[in-house]
Amino acid sequence: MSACDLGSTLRPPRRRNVFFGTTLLGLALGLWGTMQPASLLYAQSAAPPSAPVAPVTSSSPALRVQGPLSPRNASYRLSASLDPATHTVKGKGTLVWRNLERQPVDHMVLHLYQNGFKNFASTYVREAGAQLRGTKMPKGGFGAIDVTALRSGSHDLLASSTVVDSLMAVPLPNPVGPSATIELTFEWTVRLPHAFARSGWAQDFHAVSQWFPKIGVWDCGTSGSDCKWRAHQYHGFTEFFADYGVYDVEMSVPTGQVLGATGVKVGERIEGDRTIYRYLAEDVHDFAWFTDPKFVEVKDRIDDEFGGVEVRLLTRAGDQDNTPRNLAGLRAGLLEAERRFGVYPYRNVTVVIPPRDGSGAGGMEYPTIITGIGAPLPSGLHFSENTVAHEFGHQYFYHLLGSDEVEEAWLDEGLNQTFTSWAMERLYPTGCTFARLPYLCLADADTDWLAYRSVARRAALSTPSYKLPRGSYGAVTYSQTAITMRTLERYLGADRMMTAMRRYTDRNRFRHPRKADFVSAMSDGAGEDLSWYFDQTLNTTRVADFEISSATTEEHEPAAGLWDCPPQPLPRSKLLPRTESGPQLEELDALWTESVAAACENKQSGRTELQTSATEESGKKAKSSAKDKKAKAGDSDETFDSEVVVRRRGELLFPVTIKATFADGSTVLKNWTLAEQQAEPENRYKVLRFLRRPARLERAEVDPGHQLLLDEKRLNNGLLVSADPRPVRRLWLSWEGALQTLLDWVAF
Amino acid sequence: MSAQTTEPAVSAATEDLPNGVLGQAGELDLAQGEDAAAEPSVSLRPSAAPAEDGAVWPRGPVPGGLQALWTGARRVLGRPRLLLAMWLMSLTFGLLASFPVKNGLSGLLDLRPAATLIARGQADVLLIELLSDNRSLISMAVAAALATTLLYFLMQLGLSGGLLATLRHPRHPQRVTGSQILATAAQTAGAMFKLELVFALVARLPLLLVTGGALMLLNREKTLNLLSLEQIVLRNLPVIGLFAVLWAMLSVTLNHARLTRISALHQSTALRSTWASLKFAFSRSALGSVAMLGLLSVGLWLLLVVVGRVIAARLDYRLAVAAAFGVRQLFALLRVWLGLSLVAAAAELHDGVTSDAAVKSPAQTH
Repeated sequence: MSACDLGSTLRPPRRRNVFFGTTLLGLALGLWGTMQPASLLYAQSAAPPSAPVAPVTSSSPALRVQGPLSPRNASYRLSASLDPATHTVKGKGTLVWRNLERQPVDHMVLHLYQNGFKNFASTYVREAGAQLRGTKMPKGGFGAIDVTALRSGSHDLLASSTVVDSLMAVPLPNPVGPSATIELTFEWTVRLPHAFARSGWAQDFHAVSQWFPKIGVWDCGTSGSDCKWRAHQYHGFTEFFADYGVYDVEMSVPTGQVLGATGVKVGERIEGDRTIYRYLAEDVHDFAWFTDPKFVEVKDRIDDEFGGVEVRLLTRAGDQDNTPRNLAGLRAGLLEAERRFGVYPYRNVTVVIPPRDGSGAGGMEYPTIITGIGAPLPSGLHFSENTVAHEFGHQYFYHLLGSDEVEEAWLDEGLNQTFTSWAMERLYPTGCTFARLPYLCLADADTDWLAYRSVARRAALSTPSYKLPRGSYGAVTYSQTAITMRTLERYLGADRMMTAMRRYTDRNRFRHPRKADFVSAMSDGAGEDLSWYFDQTLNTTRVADFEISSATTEEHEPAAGLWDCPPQPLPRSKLLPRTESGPQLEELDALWTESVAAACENKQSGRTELQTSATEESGKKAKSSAKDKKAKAGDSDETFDSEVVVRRRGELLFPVTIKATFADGSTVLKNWTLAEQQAEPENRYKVLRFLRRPARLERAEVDPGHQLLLDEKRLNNGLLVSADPRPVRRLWLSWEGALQTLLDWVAF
Repeated sequence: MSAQTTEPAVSAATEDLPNGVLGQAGELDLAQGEDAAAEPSVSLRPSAAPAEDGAVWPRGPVPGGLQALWTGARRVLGRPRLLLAMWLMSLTFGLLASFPVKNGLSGLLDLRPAATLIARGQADVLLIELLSDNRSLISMAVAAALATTLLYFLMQLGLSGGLLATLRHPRHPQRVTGSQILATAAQTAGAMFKLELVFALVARLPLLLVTGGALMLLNREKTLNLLSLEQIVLRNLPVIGLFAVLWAMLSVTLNHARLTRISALHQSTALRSTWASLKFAFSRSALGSVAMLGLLSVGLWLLLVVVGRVIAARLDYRLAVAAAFGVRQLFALLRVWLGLSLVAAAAELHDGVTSDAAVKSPAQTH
């Protein structure tokens, strides 16, 4: 039935409504379409929707689900040969790159990451200081990459290219138009550094990562016209960003080397004294490989609802004791990630445990291959499991969600740190997920909170990594983000948080999401506009700190002073509005009524003075205190007035609950709402009164449910009305006991 | 009083001692000077000489370590006031050293509900928050602990002469009674300080250096890179264990040196006493006993510390503060008893096994 047919069957007013409705719908769809980033449109045209719930059986050796999953606009065919004696890799290959944007591009930018280790004048070394995470570059441990040939068809591009530090600008003979493709062939040599910052060598071990000229990301932004290569220098505390593609890589190594790489092995042949491995990886944006003749291989399998994932763990013999822990971390990571974020689409995952003198290569992620740590740790310190779970989590946050690790590191490291705490809670459901040692129990959320406290107010989360203050990258990017997300989880509830995160991951698989994508997906998924939260936590350095400033309680008495008898009705005037309202006004009226009745009891007409303990002399006050004791013991019908003052010391606005607990065990919960705080952001105090209650106030707590993990100081969240010396006594005498033990040892 | 003496039953060990330390006839009065003849001085005579009541102290064979400790423990139990006094001293110094911490914590936690969680050990992260926001509390606690420990150590050092003298065999001629402990301590304090210094340089420091060197060799980076945690622990544990036992043996030897020094206060020197005692401790007749004492001392000490802390920790969790304090002090008393028993055991080693029958009166010697 055509639209006209549809219209003719309806009465004229409805016909008009249908017309308008259809037009509006069409306009809305068109508007939506134009607002989407160009890359998204092109991606949609190039690839089917991602994150299938029930995957179709895949014939690909590398994928468990039917591909292609990504735009595949940066695909490589590489061939490399490692010389372990000189720690160099010679390579040649081709790159097929497709322009996803609507604007043509007349030059390309390639990353030459290894030049970050070329000399001390590099951006990396100047910013990080020839070290990473405390592992220093050994003497002579430099690295470099040299492109020795670069062609596009018959055009030699090398001569006109310029290398500045770790970036290479390549002018093109002809622009590459929208959706057009260019193929580059190139040759290069990499001298690997001594492993201290992710890649490099340590004796026989080689971590070959960021080892080939890698193309940047051509991006025209949401407007489609603000075009540039999103390719930054290799900064001291930043990682990597690239487009997706297919990697078909041959690696030649001396026979006897045990090799692990991104993707799956699809070929192996021996030529002389060398073995050539061929690996295929689909829908990935990086490729790394590791070799060591001393590696021991451990195979495992993780069964899930999507057919299972093959696991290969490469480790040296001395670290094999840690293998069960590493595999446990991997299992927890994979299963928890799939539960929250959907299918891990690859057939396999490889875990590499670098030798201890190559620990600089540990704790790192690459598509389908991750590195753990080989340190001998007690079983109560869960760092091995934590590292593997964390690095696996990066398969989602950084890989499937291909955010820019340079400009928005919090989107991968921070979200992944949040995920890591969830994975560890799966592994250790009874708590103490980070450390369970004698006299010490710490959860991952605890360590994140402590790290966050150390950098609170230093930088906003959305600060690009290379602009973060020195020494704050880890705490800001990882921990501050994680605490921000865990607070949000407590605010929303676990289910809503999971739904919101799933919305984000489903929408942005194999894309390059940015902050706006994250915020909108989270709000949509949570069913609530969360901009009030993210505007503060992502874009500002606001810190949360609520405290109970004071908590007092006293026996209720009528109001002392001068009263006119006999009692008159309560004065009211429309010309004189009251500042109090609601329950507060009711309480004030009740006080007035009670006080005038007490003052006028058995009194003549006229003005009379009412005395209470507030105005009585000290002798009479002693009688009052006797009454207090009776009241405390619950022997009297006295009532009590209590007051709690809550102070917002921090700048972050967040709805909080205040809990008042009374001596008879009763509790009252009151809220300081977000709306109240937003209405008067400079009003830092909220006063709560509890009048005529049958028992004294014992304690007051703000955020008793520990929702606001971002609260910088938790000790000031509660206040007792009367001091309780027992806990301090216990701590003091415990310390005293330890000292005595020392003294006794010294004496004899 | 008879001037006759019987030849002392000199053990092989004492024959090895250099002349001038033991075996010389004649009294050696510590209380020298103008008042020497007037006041009833404590006379630290060579054990070969008769006691004031004429009893003779024949040095017997070196007892076994277990026997020496058992004898020492009973001897200490027979001196309840001494035991209590030493325990009270330890408690007093402990309280003094920890009071600044108490005051600091009171101001921070008395009004905080979270303090209960911290005290129960249920909120380690809040304890870390407290300490990281109040670092002066940590420096104050450490400073107070160090200063008190040093003072306590020096005080114990000064008292060591008197303690040793009072923990010898009840009929030993050089034994002193309660009221004389402090006087003896004062008289011997200087010698004890010098001896401590010499002993540290000659014995303790070399042991520390050798152990440190051994641990460094065992834990070279290349080696560590190849070993699992279990292997690393298994390699190091014997070295650390041996160090602990040797250190305890040196403590026994030090007490022996103190007694040797006291016995010949003006004839010997710290170095000679040290050397003599080291030779004694590692001689064939005494090595087994000293080693046994060292082992027992380490084992029992660890047992008392660990068991005491475990029991106290459970009571701490329940905030049974008084009960936990009681348990801690009970174990502190046991540690003091152990320490004094080891001192008495060292005296037994020095003086040799002696039965009452062997301690003959002058009448019996004729």
